[in-house]
Amino acid sequence: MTSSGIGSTSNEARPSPQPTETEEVSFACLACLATILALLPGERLVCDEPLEEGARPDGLLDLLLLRISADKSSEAQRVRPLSFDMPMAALRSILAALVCAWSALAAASDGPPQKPSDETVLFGDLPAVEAASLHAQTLAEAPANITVITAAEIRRYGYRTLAEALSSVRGFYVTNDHTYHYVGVRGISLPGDFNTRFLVMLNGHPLTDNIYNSNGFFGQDFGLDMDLVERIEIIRGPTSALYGSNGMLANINVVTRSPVDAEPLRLSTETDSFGERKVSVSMAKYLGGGANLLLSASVFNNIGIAFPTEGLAVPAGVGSSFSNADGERGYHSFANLIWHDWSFTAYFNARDKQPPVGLGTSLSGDPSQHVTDSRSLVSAAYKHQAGPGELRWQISYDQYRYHDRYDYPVEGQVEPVCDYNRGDWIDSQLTYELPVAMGPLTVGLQGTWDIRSQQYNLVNGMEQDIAGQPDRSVAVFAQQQWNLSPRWKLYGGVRVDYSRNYRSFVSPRVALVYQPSARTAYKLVYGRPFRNPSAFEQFYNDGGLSYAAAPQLRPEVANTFEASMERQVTRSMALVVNGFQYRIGQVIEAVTLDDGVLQYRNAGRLVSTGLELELNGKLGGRIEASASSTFENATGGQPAVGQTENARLPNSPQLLPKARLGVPFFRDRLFLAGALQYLSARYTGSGDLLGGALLADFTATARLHPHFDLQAGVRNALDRRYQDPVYLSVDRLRGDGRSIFIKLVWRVWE
Amino acid sequence: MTWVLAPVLLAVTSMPPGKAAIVVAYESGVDAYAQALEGMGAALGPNTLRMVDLHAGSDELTRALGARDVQLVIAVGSRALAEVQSRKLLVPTIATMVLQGGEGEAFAQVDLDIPLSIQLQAMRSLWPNHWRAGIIRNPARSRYSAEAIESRARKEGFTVLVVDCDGPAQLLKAVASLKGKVDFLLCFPDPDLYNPVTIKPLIMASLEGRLPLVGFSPAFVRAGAAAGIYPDYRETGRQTAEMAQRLLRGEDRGGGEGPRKIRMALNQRVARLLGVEFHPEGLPVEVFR
Repeated sequence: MTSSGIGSTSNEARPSPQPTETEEVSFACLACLATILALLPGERLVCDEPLEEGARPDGLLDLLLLRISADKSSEAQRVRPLSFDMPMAALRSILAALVCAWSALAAASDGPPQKPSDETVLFGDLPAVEAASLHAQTLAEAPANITVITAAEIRRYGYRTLAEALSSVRGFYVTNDHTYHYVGVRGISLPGDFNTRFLVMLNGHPLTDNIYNSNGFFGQDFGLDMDLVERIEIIRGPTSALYGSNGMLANINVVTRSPVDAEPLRLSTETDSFGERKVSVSMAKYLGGGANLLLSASVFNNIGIAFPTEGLAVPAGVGSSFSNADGERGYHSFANLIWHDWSFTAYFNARDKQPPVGLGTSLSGDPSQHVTDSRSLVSAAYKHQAGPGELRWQISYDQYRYHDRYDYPVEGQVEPVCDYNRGDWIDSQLTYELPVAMGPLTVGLQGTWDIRSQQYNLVNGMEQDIAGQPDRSVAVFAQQQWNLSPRWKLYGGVRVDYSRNYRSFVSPRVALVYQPSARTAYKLVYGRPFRNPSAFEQFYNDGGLSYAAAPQLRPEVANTFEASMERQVTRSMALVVNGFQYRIGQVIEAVTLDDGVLQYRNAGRLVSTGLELELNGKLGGRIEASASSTFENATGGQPAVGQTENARLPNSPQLLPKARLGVPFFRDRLFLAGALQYLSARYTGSGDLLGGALLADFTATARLHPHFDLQAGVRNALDRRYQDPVYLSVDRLRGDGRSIFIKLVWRVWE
Repeated sequence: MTWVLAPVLLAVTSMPPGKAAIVVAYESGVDAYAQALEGMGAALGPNTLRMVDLHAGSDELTRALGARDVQLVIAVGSRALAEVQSRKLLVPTIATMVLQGGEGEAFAQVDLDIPLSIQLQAMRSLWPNHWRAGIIRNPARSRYSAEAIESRARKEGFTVLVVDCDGPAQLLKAVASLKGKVDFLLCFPDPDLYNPVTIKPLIMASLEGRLPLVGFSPAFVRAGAAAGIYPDYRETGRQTAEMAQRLLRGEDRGGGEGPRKIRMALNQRVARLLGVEFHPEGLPVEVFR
C-alpha cells in the first residue's frame, strides 16, 4: 500500500525540481532544529548550580549544552566560571544562524551530480505504463492524502472483499451488522447510516444509488470480484468540488484490470469455515482491430452458521441458536470492452442475504426474512485528445433493485412486511482538461436524470406506495492547478449543483502543496462538501409502522480542514503525518417522534478532529511493512439517554492502530503476511460503551506452479470476542470469530 | 547475474596483473556491458586480457594502462572511454558499446548506432505495408540533417516526417504533430528526450494518439513502446574482439563500425491496445506480454 500524493501531473514532461541530497539533509536538520528551538522555554537562561537531584531539565537545550536551571529572578542569577548568561532568543538566533551557514556551505560545496553516460539510455530500466490508466479515470493525481492498494497487495494479503481491503487502510474501520458492512472514516460511522458520507466509484463512475444515496456494498454485495481489481485509490477528504453530493469524508475509486492485462482464462474457487463457497471464471480476448474484451462471472453460496439467539426476539420454538443463519447467495458479472478511445462496461450482480437479526421490532432468526440487493450498470466512456487538451465523455444507465421481507409480531401473529425499491437513472458527464500557462485546467458538466425512484411496501399483500419524486440535476465544475513556482502549487476547484428536489449548492475546494524536495510534500486542504438527503430519508413512509416522511430535509454541509506532511524518509520507507478537522452541520439523523415513529431531521452537528501517522515501505528491500495509528475524537449528533451534548459519537473509536508485515520466500513463490489492528472502545446508539478489540489476520499465498496458486488464511486468528454497534432490533452484535479460508486459482496462459 | 559472472570469468581466464596485453576498462553493474564482455571473451583466442572495473578506482586503471606490455586498450562504454582518453595513451584504443565515439581522436570503435536503413528494413519485415515513419530529431545530438534522414529513408521505400525537438518540454508537442501523418514513430537513443521522467507521458501520448512507438531497448518496449530494435550486445562484444585481433595483427588501421546484428522485441499488450498486427513469424523477435 502506498500513501502518497507526491508526483508531477501525468501530462508533464518536465522533470520536477531535483535538490541535492545535502539540500534535503540541510532542510531536514533545519526543520528539526527549528522544532527543537520552538519547544524551548522562553526564559532567560543562566548557568547555575547543578540541578537538584531528581529535578528535570527545563528544556531540551539543557540536555544539549549544560546542566542548567532557568531562573527568572535577577537576584538568583549566579554565573559559574566558564559558563554563560544570555537571553534565550539570542541563543536561538545564533544556533539558527549556524545551522543556516552550515547548510549553505554544504550546498555550495556540493558539486553537480555525475551525468550518466549517453548509452545508459539504452540499458536503464523505464517505468511501465499501466493500461488501466488509459481507459479508467484515475484519481491518484489529486492534491489530497491518498492511499493506493495494488492488485499485488490484494492478492498477497488475501483480501476477498472490498471491506477486507479497506479495513487495512489507515483511519478506516469496518462494522458488520451481518447484513451489510459499514465503513467508518474520520471516526464517523453512525449506526443506522447507509454509508452516505463518502463515494465509492468504479473506474471513476459513482456507485451511489438513487434511493438510499448509499455507497454501501463492501462484502459479496459488491459486484466486482477482487481478482479483477487493478488497484483501489482512496482519497481522503472532500471531493464534492468535483463529484457533488456525498463526497464528504473520502472517495474510494476501484479501478478494474484492463482487458489487455488480464489472463486469457482464469478459474478460482474458495471456501471458508463460515460456509462460504464461491466459484469464479474470467477470460480476456483480443478481438482484432484494437478491440480487447474482458468477461468475468462468479457465483457464491454461503449456507450460513449457527447464530446464537441470546438477547434477540426469536420465533417460538427456536433454541439457543438457529442454524443456517447469516447465509447469502448471489452472482457477480462484469464485462469490459476497450476499443481505441472507447471503453464499454457492463456490471450486473445480485445478492440475497438472510439477515440473522431483525430490523426494528421484527423477529430474529426467522429463515423467511431476507434482503436482496442488485446494483447494475452499463456505460460507455470516450476519451480523446481534442486540440490542446483531452476530452472525456461518459454516459451510463444505472439500476438499483432492493427487496426485503421482515416479519413483525403483531397481536400474537406474524405479519410479513416487504419493501421494494426500484431505482433507474441515466448519468452523463463531459470533462475537458487542458494545459494553460499556470497549470492544468479541468472543466466539466454533469447531468443526472432519474427515470424511476420508487419505494413501496407490501403489508399482508397490500401495496402501499410511498410518495417520491424522481430527481433531475445538473452541475458544472472546474478545477485549476496553479504552478506558482517549482515548489509551490495551488489547486482551486468549485462545483455548482442544481437539483429539482434540492436547493442549489456551491462546493469549493482549495489545496496548497509545498514540495521542497522530491522526497517531501506538505499539503493544506480546505473543502466545503455536502450531502443531499436521500429519497429514503425524505419520502419513506411505511404507514406509521416505523418511519414517517420528511420532505423538508436540507442537505448536510461540512467544512473540512486537513494538513499533511509526506516524506520519503529513506529510499524504501515513507512517513505520513496527517491532521484533520471536519465540521458537519445540519446532520441528517433519525429522530424518534412522540408516537415512537422515526423521522429523519436535520439535527445538530458533528465535529471530528484527529491526527494520523503512518510509516510504510520495505525492510531490507524485501519485507513489506507498514504501521499506522489514528487518534481521533468525533463528537456531536443526538446524544443518547444519559449523555450530554457533544458526547462522543456512537461507533467511533478514538484509537485505531494497525500494523502489517509481508515476507516473500523461495524467490517469491511463497508469501506470508500478517496484520494486526486494534479498535478501541466504541459507544452504541443507546450510550453503552463496548470494549476494544485486537484482531489478527494471517495469510499464506503459494505459487505451486506457474499456472496454479494456493492461498489460505485465518481471520481473527486470536478469536477475539467483540461487539459492533449496530442499528437493528438490537444495538450491538457480536463480530465474527475466528475463520479459516482457502482459495485455489488456476491461470491459463496462451 | 550476467553482469557479475562475465567479468569474473574473464578475470579468471586472463593473465595475472603485469602480464596483460589487452586492457579492458568497463563499468560493472550494467548487464549490457556484461553481455558484450561475454561475447569478447568467447571470440578472443590466445590473447591476454586484463579486466579493470572503473568502480575499483582510477589508480587501478592507471596501473593497468601503465604496464609496459599493454598493446591495446578496449574501453567499454563512454565513461570508460572518457577515463582512457584522459590518460592520453600511445597504444591503440577501441571504444565499444558507445553511442558516439571519442571526439577529435583517431579511435577505432564499435558503436551502438544502428543505421536508419537497417531499422527500416527490420520494420518492413515486422510490419509490412506500413511505409510512413516519423522521427523526432534532437538537433543538438543528431549527426544527420533532416534532409539526409529523409533521403536515406526514401532509398528503403519509406517516407519519413522529421520533427525537430531540442528538449523534453517540446516532446509531447512533437509527438502530437505526427499523429495521423505517420504509421509509427522511430525513437533514436537520446537521454534528454527519453528517460524515466519523460517516458510515461510519452507512452500515454502514443496510446492515446494511436501512434506506435519503435524504441531502442528492451526496457523501452517493456515500458510501452509497441516494438523495439536494438543491438545484440553479445555480438557487439564479438565484433569488438575481432577488431582487436585485426589491429594487433596490423591488418586494420581502425575506424568505426556499427553493430552487425540487431535484435527486436514486441509488446503484445500495447500492440493489442493499438490494433497493430505485427508479423514476427520467422524473425528473431522477443515478445513481451
